[in-house]
Amino acid sequence: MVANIKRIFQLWGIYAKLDLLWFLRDTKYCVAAIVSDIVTNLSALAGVFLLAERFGNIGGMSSDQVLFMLGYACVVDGVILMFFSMNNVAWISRLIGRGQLEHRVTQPVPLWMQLLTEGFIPVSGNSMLLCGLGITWYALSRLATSVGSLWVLSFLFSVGCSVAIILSFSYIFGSIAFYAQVAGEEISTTAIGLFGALKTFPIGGLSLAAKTVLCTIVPVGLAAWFPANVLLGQAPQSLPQALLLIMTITLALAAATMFRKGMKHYATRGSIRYSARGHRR
Amino acid sequence: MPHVAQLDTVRADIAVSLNSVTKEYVQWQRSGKMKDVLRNLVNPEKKVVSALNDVSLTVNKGEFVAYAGANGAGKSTTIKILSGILQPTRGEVSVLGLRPEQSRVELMKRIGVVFGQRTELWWDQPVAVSFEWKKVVWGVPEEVYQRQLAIVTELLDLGDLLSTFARELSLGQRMRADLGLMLLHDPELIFLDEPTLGLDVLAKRQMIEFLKRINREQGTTIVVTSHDMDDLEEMAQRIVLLSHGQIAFDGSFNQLRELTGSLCRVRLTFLGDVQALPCGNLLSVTRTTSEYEFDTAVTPVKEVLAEIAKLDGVVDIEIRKAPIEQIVAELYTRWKR
Repeated sequence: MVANIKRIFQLWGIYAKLDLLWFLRDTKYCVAAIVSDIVTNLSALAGVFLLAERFGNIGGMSSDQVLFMLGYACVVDGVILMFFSMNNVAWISRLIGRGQLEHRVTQPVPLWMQLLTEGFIPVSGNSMLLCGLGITWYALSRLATSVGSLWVLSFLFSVGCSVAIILSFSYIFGSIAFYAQVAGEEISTTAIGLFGALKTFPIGGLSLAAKTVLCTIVPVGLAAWFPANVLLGQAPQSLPQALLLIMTITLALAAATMFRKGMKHYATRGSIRYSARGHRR
Repeated sequence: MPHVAQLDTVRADIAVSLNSVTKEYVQWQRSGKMKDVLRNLVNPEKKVVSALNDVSLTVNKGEFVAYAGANGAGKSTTIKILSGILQPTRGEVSVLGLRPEQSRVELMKRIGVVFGQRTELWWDQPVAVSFEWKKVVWGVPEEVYQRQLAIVTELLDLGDLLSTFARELSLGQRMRADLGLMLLHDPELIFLDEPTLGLDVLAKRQMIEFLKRINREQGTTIVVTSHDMDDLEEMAQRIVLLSHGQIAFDGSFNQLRELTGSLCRVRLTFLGDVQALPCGNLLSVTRTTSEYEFDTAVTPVKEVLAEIAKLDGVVDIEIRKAPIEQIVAELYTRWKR
């Protein structure tokens, strides 16, 4: 256990170094990356504030509460981008569909550990997370929520659960690429895109059936709406408070099972194609 | 227990062991006709293809083995099974005493794999950074890393490449860098799948010399696949030829030559017009040169030389063995029939 944790930090260390070197490899690239990040994040911020204004008082949430929910959603996206975006780790169907898992199985590292560490880009991939934290902090400063250490822990735990849910969803659908490499190559993009499109809606005003569907079968509500409301002390009455944890465990187990089955299929059938695209940055 | 001790010694000398290994793939069959569309949806026709069919093979430590065969013969499948990427349908596989599917992580620390068409280098980083990445991911001890780095830098002439971005390397340079990367953890056994593919003459020569040297000096066991038989003959002491998923030949290159008879070629250069040689098959002819092929088992060299001596105006004679490419091509054709 201790050895594994030490190894994870060792691997995060080398990937952080690679990212820093990549980011600073050329003045023009570096400046261009910073400028494009600023433009992207400013537009994202503008979008967030406009949405908060538009969705204020919809679904039982005030503008500031919606702003908090959107900040939470940005933090979740930021964690995914910072920890799992390099080499398409979050978009697993790309790795499978392009036959690139073979590069992973020739490394003397357990596959789960590779997938946990390989996507880490703390330098070039931190902007969304920083924006999200900024929005969350701003929204909290306008809300009466008391923020103590326990609340911060709950926040971190909820973000971890939401990230795990999105990744599990991506891996569940992404595992289809084991069986249809070409057709399934971009299925994880679609799965993650579903969260991008729907997770920022305050769904409190919908019927119980709709809310249940959006928090279980298509769990977009668990990526921001449900945990944000729990953290704000107004947990949806109609849904169990432990829903986030229950769904995280359920989806993570389902993803692990599907992925493991897919890997067995991969080891039996092999890959029908190989594409170097996106393999190494 | 002398018997057991001896058995252990024998096992310790084995780098690779395939025991009755079969690898089958399922191929979906489609007629491409509209009338079959419904049948394909309900009850698709499938065909089982054997990439490897009951293959048994042993490679001892320190050997340099060429693993060859026509397209689709099962070469890459074997390398993938040995590297733990694929699992065999039936049979037992042992690499350095480990079962690849069970001990992948442990095995990968002791072997090296290079697929000629793929790179492990970080595209947008200098080669030295990829090397450092390898050191951390493979957990290579500092002294081993420094020693191997010095060796590969010198032998593969990587000095100038270490600070160059991988994306800016030529194919030959990239292959050299990939080979260097693969050797940084000092693997006991390496698998190379088509390492000379696409390389120019100089790059190929550098690679062949390097592989021969690490096999000779460090005792590294090497299993290499290639379509280029001349390259393989220059590198390896032993050749295993696959045909239709089975080992069709396993022995030395000289033994392989004997399979198709002892073919030789003689090239004659005349002062004036060419004259016909009564023995042997004419392969090519120009105004002043001609090339014949003959089987020394049927027509001894002495006899051929006697016939040449009878010809007028011969100013140059060149006798050599038939290229291994031709021998193998002939065998592939025979096996196809």
